[in-house]
Amino acid sequence: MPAEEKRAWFALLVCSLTLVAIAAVYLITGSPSRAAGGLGVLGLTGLMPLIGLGRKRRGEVISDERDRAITQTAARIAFGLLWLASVGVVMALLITRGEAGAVSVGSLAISVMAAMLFFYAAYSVATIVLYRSGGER
Amino acid sequence: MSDKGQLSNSIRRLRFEHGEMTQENLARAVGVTRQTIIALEAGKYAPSLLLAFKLARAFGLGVEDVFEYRG
Repeated sequence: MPAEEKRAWFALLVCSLTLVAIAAVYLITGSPSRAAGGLGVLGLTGLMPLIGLGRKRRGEVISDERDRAITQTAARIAFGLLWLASVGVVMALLITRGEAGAVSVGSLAISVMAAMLFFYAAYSVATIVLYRSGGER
Repeated sequence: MSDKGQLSNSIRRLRFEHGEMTQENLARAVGVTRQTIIALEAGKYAPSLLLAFKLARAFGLGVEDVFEYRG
């Protein structure tokens, strides 16, 4: 399996663990703001560059032009989906809370983390699908 | 129409004609992963011009001896 695909599976696992952590903390404490602390699990994505390091040290090629084409396409797909979701959330807020409505600073901070979670999940799924389908053009 | 469908190659045949060269050895010779050679042989990936030249050189041939474009 290519290193980039392994990284995508790892990122997807981290995203799933993050959602599980959020759900678990919420079930235990009943507090949405405390549950948002589960987003900290997302920090595990920082370990992604370690994947494939052993092969690189052995002098093997771990990434080439096809991998770059796949990851670039996946990033474009993920960014497009994130943009759509962001516009959707803003529209929903406008409709439900009105133009004079307000959101807390805490919600804003959480929304940035949630956007990262969304991006990583979409990027991982797109990468895996592109590797499996061979549709990396 | 996808460009991939218009581009075919003889990499698999050429590997066997060159002392049954493995995908791993060819990948190493041109500086890509074995998965890319697999995708090329399956017609799932259209390589860059640079990689096409590297592949042709690895077999001691010209690009048009390895790749065929049906435009």
